[in-house]
Amino acid sequence: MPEEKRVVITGMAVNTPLGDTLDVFMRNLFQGNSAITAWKGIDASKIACKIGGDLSGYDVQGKVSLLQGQIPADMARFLPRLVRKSPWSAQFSIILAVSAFLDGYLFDKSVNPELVAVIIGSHNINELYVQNNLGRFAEDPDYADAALAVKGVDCDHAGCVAEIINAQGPIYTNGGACASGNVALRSAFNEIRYHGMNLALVLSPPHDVSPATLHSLAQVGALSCVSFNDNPARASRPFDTAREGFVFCQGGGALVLEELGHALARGARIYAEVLGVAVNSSASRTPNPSEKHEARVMESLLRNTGVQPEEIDYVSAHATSTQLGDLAEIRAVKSVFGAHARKLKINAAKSILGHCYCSAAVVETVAAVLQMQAGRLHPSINIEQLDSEIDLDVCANHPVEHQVRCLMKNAFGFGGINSASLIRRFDDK
Amino acid sequence: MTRDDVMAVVIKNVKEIVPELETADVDLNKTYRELDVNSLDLVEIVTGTMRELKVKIPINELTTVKTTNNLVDLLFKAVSASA
Repeated sequence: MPEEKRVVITGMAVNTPLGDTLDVFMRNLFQGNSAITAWKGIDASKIACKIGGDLSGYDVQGKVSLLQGQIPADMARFLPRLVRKSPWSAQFSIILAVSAFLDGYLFDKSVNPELVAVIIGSHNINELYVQNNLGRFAEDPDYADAALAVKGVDCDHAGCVAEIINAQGPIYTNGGACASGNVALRSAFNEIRYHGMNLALVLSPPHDVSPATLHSLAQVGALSCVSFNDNPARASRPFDTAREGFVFCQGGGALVLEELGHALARGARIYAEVLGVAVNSSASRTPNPSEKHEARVMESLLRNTGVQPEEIDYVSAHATSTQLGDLAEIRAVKSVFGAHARKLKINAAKSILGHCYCSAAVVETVAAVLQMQAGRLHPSINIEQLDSEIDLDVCANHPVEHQVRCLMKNAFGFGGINSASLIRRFDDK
Repeated sequence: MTRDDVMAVVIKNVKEIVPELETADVDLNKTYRELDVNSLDLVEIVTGTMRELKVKIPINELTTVKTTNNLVDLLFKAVSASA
């Protein structure tokens, strides 16, 4: 039986309120600078949720001009036109794709476009754009954006991205609520391992969230909307006793996955190796987390990749800052890792960044890989009084020097979708 | 509303869709094919303009539109008829 193909990460990009370059993004994470403010671009006047990670003032045109100077001339001409014609969130997809390909030095050499896949990890991405157009439609059908049927759908993101990077392999979207990024990572991994792709771009754009969705999230008790509206930077506080729900953040990220042989042949910079991604279901429609099934997904991942629990040094937790969710995850980690759980370092990117919703897993995977590279973990901020049941090392309030050989990234979503990925430092073994 | 007023709105919306034209004059007699404006772009230019001018033209009449001058004629006719 031929040896299984290995899959590595060779390019990354983010676009979040903490920065639109990997360096600035990581500096803010290491310093624990919260991304959360009062909403600026969202009309929160009628809803309880007043705070979030807000990208509404982001200078898309400025970024496009910056990128134009770094990409091939024909693409540089086309880029502003594609961006200009796109709904808000798709503009970020295009920017993220170009940024990730630039980071992977993929414009320097020609790649076979037929062996490049694009997987968008998210769903209902353009919801505010769609909602605004339905409002116009109600006023007069002809006043809605004529291209609503083309640009309102999620797969338009895959289309835009494929057009700008000339990806001619399989392109599609993967929805898995807040686990979407891991679900997409799994598809991308499989496209390379089982379907012959050389490259697969996993991309999750900032969500064009509507006040209606924020209101619903508050009504089901998932969002912080009571105690911290006047102190936005303190609202997202995973593992702290006073946590009261997650804080929404508009942020996106991208990962370039590449078949190892292809990466080595072109002399690519290899960030890390993806060992596998597991996804399962709690067989429950409720938004409540399931400790049992979260543990099961981590166990199946370890079993299927042949990695021992003791080989994991670091868990990038899902940890959203809800009472039930943070505890369920910690309990699951303890049951999977046993005595080794006390040797693990665990942190919560959402304490600093907020919850990037469907894009959280991709954004936080970028952060996790860069922490592995740096030998340093960012803090989980806002832990004033650690929940008494949380007796593991959650990197409370201070960054931690820590060598990571192998990390686990958890992501859990509504619909009872549980997922985890394993990523190992790449050396030539 | 004069034909020039209609022209100004159309040109603004053409430039929205074709950023390269932002700093250049739009050649009113150049075909949209020459300007690399596809049928989807054209529909968006037209619906955006209709929304601003609060007039309507049947979308099927767009098949006769080849240039910005053609489009302005069509829209100005609709504006005049609704005045």
